[in-house]
Amino acid sequence: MDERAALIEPLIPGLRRYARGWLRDAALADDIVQDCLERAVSSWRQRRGDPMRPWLYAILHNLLVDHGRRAPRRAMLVPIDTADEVALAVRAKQSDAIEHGDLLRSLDALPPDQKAVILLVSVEDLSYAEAAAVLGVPVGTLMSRLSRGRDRLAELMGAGARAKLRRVK
Amino acid sequence: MTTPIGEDDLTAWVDDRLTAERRHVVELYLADHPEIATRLRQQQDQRTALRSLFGLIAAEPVPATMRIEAIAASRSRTRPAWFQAVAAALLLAVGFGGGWGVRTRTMPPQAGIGALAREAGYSYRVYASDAQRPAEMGASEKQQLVSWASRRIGSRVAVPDLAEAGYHFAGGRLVATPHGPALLLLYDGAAQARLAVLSRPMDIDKDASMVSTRDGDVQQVSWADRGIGFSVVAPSATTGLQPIAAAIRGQAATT
Repeated sequence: MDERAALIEPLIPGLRRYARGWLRDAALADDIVQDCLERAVSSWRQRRGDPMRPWLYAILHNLLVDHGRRAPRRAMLVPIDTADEVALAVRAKQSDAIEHGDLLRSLDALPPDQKAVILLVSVEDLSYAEAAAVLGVPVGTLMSRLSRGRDRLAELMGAGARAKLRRVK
Repeated sequence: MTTPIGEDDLTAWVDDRLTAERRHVVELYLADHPEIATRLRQQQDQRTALRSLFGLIAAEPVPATMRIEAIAASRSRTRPAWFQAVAAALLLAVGFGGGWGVRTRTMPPQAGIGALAREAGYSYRVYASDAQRPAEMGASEKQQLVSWASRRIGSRVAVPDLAEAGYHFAGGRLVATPHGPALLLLYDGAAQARLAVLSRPMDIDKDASMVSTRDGDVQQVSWADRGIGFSVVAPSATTGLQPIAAAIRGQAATT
């Protein structure tokens, strides 16, 4: 029991952050993390020798994907403009806020596979092997998905910036 | 001879995960390929921006409900209810003597119970699909909900424990029906599955045996005991609703 807490709890902040990368509704994201932790506790014995970090992130990732499949309409009910501010505790300077808004919108526009790799590697700092284990793909596939995802994200950001310039003119 | 530069080297360069030696080789390559270098620098900036964007979230204090100790404790607390539920289900199974299946299929919903099931279906569609605020009072306000609802309905109500069936109490609210206020309890199961229990006093069908009904995307199991009607509602794909209904009936009989 103490062992479980010692292994799981240090990872909770990261798990919450990963869920928040997927969902703009902070309360909903936390609900899914809660579900993930309950599952981790109840299936503790099935873990066998699996390394802790990929095991937990995999449970969470699968719940998030399930949720996305089940409730695509619900997710769209959150208006993007308010979501940026509400969902993120970041309240930076005005210009930062705008850039962050663009970045979030571009991230949300990525295919889920690419978004998952980018968040797991760039934000959660999982190793390539760990991220590959979470998503159940070979490391090579993971790395090319990561590179494609990053290119796509840059394209989306570029498109957003161009649209803004046009509006200014 | 060095191994040729691969996409994987470039990706690892962005993440700063190369050995010093390999990084040197990649940087020589980038010096010769400015467009690739620009692309990768942009990716690096993006990576930094993402980290700063999400960085603060990890610094937020973790909710108390996420403590592993709390989760483990709430699991072990539910164990007595598990025995109760199984015992109730067994008793019911014996009581019905296997005639259950025939009974539900041949009995048309009677007026009172039929109306109850319909009301339960309406409430379920409105509230169970609500991701933000399905309940007026959450699981933490269970006691207040029970005393308030008991007062409004004019009859003592209880919140059944369905943990062993994999559903935990998420909250409840009063809903309007043509027969006065009814209590709607919501339970969350695995993978966002939601179940609701509607209960209210019955004018007719004060005691009625269990009836299974199905209405489009939802299914219900409804019955009445000692003047209170119950209807359990779940998506029609949910299996095992009847044992859950039996457990609720058993728990209500002992309170």
